[in-house]
Formats: sequence, structure tokens, C-alpha cells
Amino acid sequence: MKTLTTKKHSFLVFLGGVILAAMACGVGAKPLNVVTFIEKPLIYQHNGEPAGVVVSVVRELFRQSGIDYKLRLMPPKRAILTTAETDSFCVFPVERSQEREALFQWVSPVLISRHGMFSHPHVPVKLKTLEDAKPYKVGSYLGSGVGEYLEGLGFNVEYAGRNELNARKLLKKRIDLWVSDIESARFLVKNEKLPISEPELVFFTTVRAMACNLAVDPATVKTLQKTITQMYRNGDVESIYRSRD
Amino acid sequence: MDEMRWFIQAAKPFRGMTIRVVSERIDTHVYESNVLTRAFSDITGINVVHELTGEDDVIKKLQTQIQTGVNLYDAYINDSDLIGYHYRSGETVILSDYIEAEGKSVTLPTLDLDDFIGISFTEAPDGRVYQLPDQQFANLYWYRHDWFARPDLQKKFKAIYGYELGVPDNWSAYEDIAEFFTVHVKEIDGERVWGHMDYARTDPSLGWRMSDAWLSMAGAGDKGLPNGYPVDEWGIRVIGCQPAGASVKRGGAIDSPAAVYAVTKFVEWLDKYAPPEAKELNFTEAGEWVSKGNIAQQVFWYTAFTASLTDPDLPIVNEDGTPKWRMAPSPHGVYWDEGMKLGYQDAGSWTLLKNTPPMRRDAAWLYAQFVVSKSISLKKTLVGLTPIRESDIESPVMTERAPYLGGLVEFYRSRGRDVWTPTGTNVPDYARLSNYWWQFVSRAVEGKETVEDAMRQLASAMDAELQQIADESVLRCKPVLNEVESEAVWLKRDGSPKAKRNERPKGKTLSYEEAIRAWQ
Repeated sequence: MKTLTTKKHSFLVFLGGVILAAMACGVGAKPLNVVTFIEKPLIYQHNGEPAGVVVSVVRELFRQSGIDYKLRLMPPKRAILTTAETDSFCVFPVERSQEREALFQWVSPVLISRHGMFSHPHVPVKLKTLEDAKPYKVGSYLGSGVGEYLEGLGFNVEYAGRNELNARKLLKKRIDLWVSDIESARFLVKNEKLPISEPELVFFTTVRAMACNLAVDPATVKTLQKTITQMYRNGDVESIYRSRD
Repeated sequence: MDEMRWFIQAAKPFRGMTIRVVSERIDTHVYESNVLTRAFSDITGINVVHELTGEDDVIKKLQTQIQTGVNLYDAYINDSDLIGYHYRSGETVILSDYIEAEGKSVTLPTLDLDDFIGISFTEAPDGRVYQLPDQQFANLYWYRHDWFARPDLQKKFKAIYGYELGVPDNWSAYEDIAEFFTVHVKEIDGERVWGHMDYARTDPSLGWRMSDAWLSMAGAGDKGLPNGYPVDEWGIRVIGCQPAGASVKRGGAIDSPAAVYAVTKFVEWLDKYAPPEAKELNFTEAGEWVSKGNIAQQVFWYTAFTASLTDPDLPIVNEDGTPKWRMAPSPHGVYWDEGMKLGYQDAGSWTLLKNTPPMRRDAAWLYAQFVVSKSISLKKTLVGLTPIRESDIESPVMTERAPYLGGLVEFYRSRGRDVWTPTGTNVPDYARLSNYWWQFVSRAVEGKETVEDAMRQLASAMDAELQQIADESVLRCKPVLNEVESEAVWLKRDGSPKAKRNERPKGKTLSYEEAIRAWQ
């Protein structure tokens, strides 16, 4: 066929324009795929979308950086693996550690967490130092950097799919100590009215970051890092955290 | 017990507090974290959570507290390598000022700063002390003294290489010995043996191999102690106190012939003479590898692992508890000249940040002093073997232990302890710059780039970061980069960067006694 109908012609002109525009913007213009995972009360699902104070920090980070992104939820272990293996992915909040340093590019911190060990209300385990917990079976969740940290120190760590499952395992005496970010644990204990009291020992502080695949444009990562540092310095992060109280 | 009485009194205002400190994960800090925190708590009523983590994590956490202002920890045990940043940034408590002023009431009268052998590492060019040494270790040559002493192996080595099997004085001899054991000896007592050991996983600790000492052992920097001047062992040139560039074209030495030679040998020895697992190991995993008993020598071995090599059940320890191994000065590369630093020594040191609340900082300072106090220090030294006090090193008990420590006591009683030095003050921001080492050197190790390309890119990245530090920061003595000049011009000038030399002179070895005499 040598001629085109006007409608078809208009459509192809439009399509060509879209393709040209996309080419002009280049690959870097694709929105970054950002994934996170539920960690109540810091991150939860609201109307099918990720919400919570850490999500607010990251949304503000992208807004101030002027970088386009798509945000969605995944289970923690899958989120980390997907990001490690897929070009345009970032995941937060991941515990940054020397062992993980070379696997990702980092934007940090998006959250600072303290981690504690909780014992069963009827089988208290008194801890003065972390070493005191060595003889016990401790529960963590898949993808947890703190779980990996303890395992590296020779602890007997048993992993659950999600953090909250450990509280139930503790109460059923399937583990002796539950290792958790203390804020998440306190929320869970309060929300579900669990008979678990304060941590026996708050033993570790983690810098939790947004980890990006190694193929993400380093300039993008640098811009995000510069922005988050600025957000801490000018009080934006503190304001977001304060706004939830 | 006067010191303990003093701690009880001084700690009264802080009783019931819980303070948080962090350090890297070596035997000395394990002892502090598991044992000394409990003793300190019992005596003072101050609880301490002493976290152990990777050295890179310590640096990142310290950097995070400075950048965000969030009080992550009340004190850090951080290598004196960061002294260039501490004195430039204004973020760190200047200890020598603090103990005379606001920290006076919480400063131990018997602290005795002059007794710390590494105190010069923690002094800035302004003459003030920024950090207090907690543990100290060096990178030395390590070898199987028992194998080297075997007449059959001595004869075989001489027949192949034409000189004596002994402690290598230069890299050619090290290379020959590595080849000898890996290629020619292959098995001892039915076990596969290797002539070289290292680690090279793509990990922050790979960078320390280079920034700690490979370039300095090869001879990349200038003469001068504790660090080459104007070009240091990182290959960074300064003008006065201002960093002026890392690349040869700006007068630095990171992509100089000496640096390329250093990394080329690192990769070559790893490929040819080390166990295949070495490429997958990091600092911590590799530390105790030589204790398996199948490594003949290691050019650059951390004495922080001495304690773990003294277990009588190990195959490298004799029945009477004396070691089958020895430590000695590391051999030097062809660009090294008399008057240059030869290896690396580090003082993991207590560091207080200005943005820590004063009450928490003071309580943490009490714990810091407790674990280095004269009452505690000798016992801690005997456990961790990372000595910090002259009085401990010269003590009769160290004389008694000397035969069991393979040369450690001899090293620390010699002038060697002044010649082995940490990263110097040419590095304006260690946390920002140290990442580049492992990121670029790993490309050469993995075969993704030639060594020349990797080092050229590293030099460019380092220059760019220096420029960015200059543009963004309020550091004093901040970088002012030299204009670009022809590399050929720089290589013709005296000192570092140095023009290419004959990189394969004849190997030269020394007896153990001759080798350690270099320390005296």
C-alpha cells in the first residue's frame, strides 16, 4: 500500500514523536524502580501503596532530587535479591554493612535503627553483653543484616520469612531470643497485645540505607546521597519524623 | 588499686547510664566487649554496649554521625588513619585540650600520654592530640621459620635460584620464594603448600592492602617519616598542608610506574602463588588462614592476628608452645629508597565527636581510659597482643612471653615501631577517599581492566573527589589541585612520582638475625 489513511498517518506521526521523545530523554530518563518492605510502624501498606515515616523520607528525597521513580512493596529477601540482580532497582531500608558494601551503591542513611534481643516472658534470659546470648537460639528474618551479623559472630540464628513471625515463635518457645529493630518490636508487641516486655539488651545500631543496583547511574546515586545529607543537615528528616508524633 | 578507686569516684555522676561505643572486630576488642565492659560496669555502675563490626562500618558510622548530627555512638575506636580529617574538619574533640579543660574532672591522673607508643600517630600537624590509642598493630612479613631452616629445602632453593633461602630483603626474593614453594616444593609431609598468601575479594578490606602499605612497600611515595613528603604512600601530593593531586599529571603517584608495579605484583602473586581461595577472602577471613599450616610466607601480615596463631593445638606451634613461624620486616620493592617508610602500623584509637552530648561523652571517656589504664593495659596486651604502652612492652612478663610470640616483642622494643606508620595527614577525608581503592583495584584483580587502566582511572577519580572536597567543604587545609602538566615532566623531577626502574633485580635474602637487626 503506497498511501496511508489520515487516521493511520496521524497515529504513526504521534508514535514517532513518542519514540523520538523517549530517545531524546535516553535510558536514564526511565523511572527508577524503588522497592521496600513492610516493617510496621515505619513502613506499612495503605490503600495498596507503601506508606509510613521512612517512605515519607524517601518520597521527599526523590522530590527534592527531581528524580523520577516508581515505588512498590515486596517481601524483604525478594526485594534485596531483585535489586541485586536488576539494573534499575533500588531497595530500602537495608542495613548497610562492610559485607554488603560492594554488592550495591548506597544512599545513606534513610533510617537509623537500634536492635535488641527480646526473651520469653516466662523464660527470661538476662543479658549483660552480647556474648551472654551465644548459647541460645535467636530468631531473625530472611534478608536481615543483623541476622547475618550474628551468624558471622557464630550465633545460632534461625530465620523466619518476616520479622513479626519471630514474636510468635518466641512465645511458642521455638526460639529463645527474638532479635529485632526495637521500634518495630515495640509496635508489634503493643498492637498485638503480646506479653513481651522490653529488650534484654539493645546490642547493635545499624545505618539503614537505600541500596541500588551496581548498574544504576552513579550520578543518580550521588545526587540522591547529596540530597539526603542535605535533608539531615537542614532538618527536613527530623521534621518528617516529628510529624508522625 | 588507686586507679580503680579513682574510677569509682569519677563515675558517680554517671551511674546507671548506658553508653554505646563501637570498634572493629579483632581479638583485643572482643576482650573489651565481652570482659572489660562487665568489669567496668561492676566497678562504676556505668553500662557499656561495646559493639564490634567491620572497620569500614566504623568509618561509615562515624561519618554518618558527623553528617547527620544523630548521636549514634558516644565514642568510636577509629584508626588514626583518619587524623587528616579529624584535624581538618573541626568535628572531633581535641583530646589534649579536653583533658585540660572541660574533661579535667573525668581524666585519669595516671593516664600518662607519654607512655603510649602510638601517640604521635594521633597528633595532628598542629601538635595537638585528637585520639587516644587503644590497640596497635603492624603489617610485617610472616614466614615458616621451620621450613626455611630445613637443609633439604635450603639446598634445593640454592640450586634453583643461586642464593640462600632466607628472609627476603627485596620483592624479587619474595617472588622467588613464593614460586619455590608453590611450584617446586608443592607438598610438605603429604600436604599441598603455597608460597604466598593474600586476600582479594571485592570488599572494602581489599583497599586497605593498597592504602595501608602495598604502594609504600613498593616505594611509590617520597622519603620521610612518618610519611613521605610531599608525596605520601597513598600517592597524594601536598603543598604545605594542602592536597595538590593524586595523579602523576598533577604531581601525585597513584598511577605512577611504582604504583602500577605494586598492584601488578599484587595481582600476579595472587594468581600464581596463593591458594585459589585467596581471591574470595576478605581481611577477617584471611587473618587466621596461615594457621592452617600450609603457607610458607606472607609479605604483608597483620600482627593483630598474633594471638590467634599462638594456640598450642595449631600445626604451626611446637609442643613447647614456641611458634614454628616468625615475623620480620617486609621486603621492599624496587622503587623503595632508604629513608622511606616501609610498612604500615595502625593505632585503633578512641575518638570523641563534638556532637555527642557532653554527659554521654564524659561517661564514654571514662570507659575509654579504663580499657587503656595501667591497671588493665598489661593484661589486655597479653590477651590481644596489640601493645600500646611502653611500660607494658618493657615489662618482665613480656620478656617471658617473647619466645612464644615469634618476634612481636622484638619489633615493639626496636626502632621499627617508629618506621612502620599509619596513613598520614595528606589524606584530607579518609572516609570519602578510601572507597576508591577497592573499587578500582578490584577491576584489575578480576581481570576487567589492565592494572595501568585501573590505576589511571583511580587517579582520575581521586583527583575529582579531592576537587569536590575542595568545592564543598569548609575543611581547613583543603585541597587546591595543581594544574595538569605532562607526566613526562613530573617523572623527570626528583622524588615521587618516580620514573620506571628495572623491576626484576636479583633476589636478596637475609638470615632471620640479620633481618631483625634492621629494627635495632
